[in-house]
Amino acid sequence: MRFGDVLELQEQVERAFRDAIAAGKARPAVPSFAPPTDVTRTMGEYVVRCDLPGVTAEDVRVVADEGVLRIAGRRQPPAGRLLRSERKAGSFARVIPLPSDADVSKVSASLRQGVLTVTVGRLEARPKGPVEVPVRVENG
Amino acid sequence: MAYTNRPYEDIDRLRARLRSLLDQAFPAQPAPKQRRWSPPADIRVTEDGIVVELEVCGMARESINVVLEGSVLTIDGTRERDGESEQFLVAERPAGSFARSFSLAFEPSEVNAALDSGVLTVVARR
Repeated sequence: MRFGDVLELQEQVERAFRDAIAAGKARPAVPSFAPPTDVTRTMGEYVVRCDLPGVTAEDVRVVADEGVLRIAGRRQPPAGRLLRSERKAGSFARVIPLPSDADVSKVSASLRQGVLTVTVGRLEARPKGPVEVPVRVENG
Repeated sequence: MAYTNRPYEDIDRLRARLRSLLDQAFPAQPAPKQRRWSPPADIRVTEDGIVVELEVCGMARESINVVLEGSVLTIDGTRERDGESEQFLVAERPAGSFARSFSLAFEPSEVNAALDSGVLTVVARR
């Protein structure tokens, strides 16, 4: 442990607070709805699934940032008059906080049957507890 | 947490503890049970009939039934939970069976249904 690590910890804590505040308020232009979303975990990745019926790939934007996944976009409002209107339209946004072992350098997204699926890799599991390291003897 | 007289080590352990606490804020659970749900619909009146748009994303056309009985249009089906075997951190998307009925006020001569991008569009003509 070096003194630099303490500074790094301080920076991590500050970043966590900044992200928490950003996740809470920094929504682009107040979205009109928040699409229902599942987040699951497998051995190797996190999977985020978001219901976006009728939304085209051009109208959705996925950004992996430090610690969060931002999903935002727009569903075109229906043309003409509706006898009944239950479907949500207009701009939407979700900010999904990612667990600390999420690897934002391994992210992919696809849209199928109106469901946006984003997979985020997981970092290699860190060993829990102390690990005995063998010392190799080298001659010379 | 017990503290030692080695402050750097304490900070390191504190950091590990902080990270694990953050992870605990999102506990993982098995997939929630399926339950009845009701997909939202838009209805539009056209010159020769009516158009119903139903949000049924993540479903194949074969798993949706569209039935006309007289002037009553019924759409039902079952949406399976995606990632059923995975550990759930957030579960908001509905899964399970649904059924919606619409009284059309006329008996259609023709009904067509098409599924695109998770939206089922049913066109009923007079």
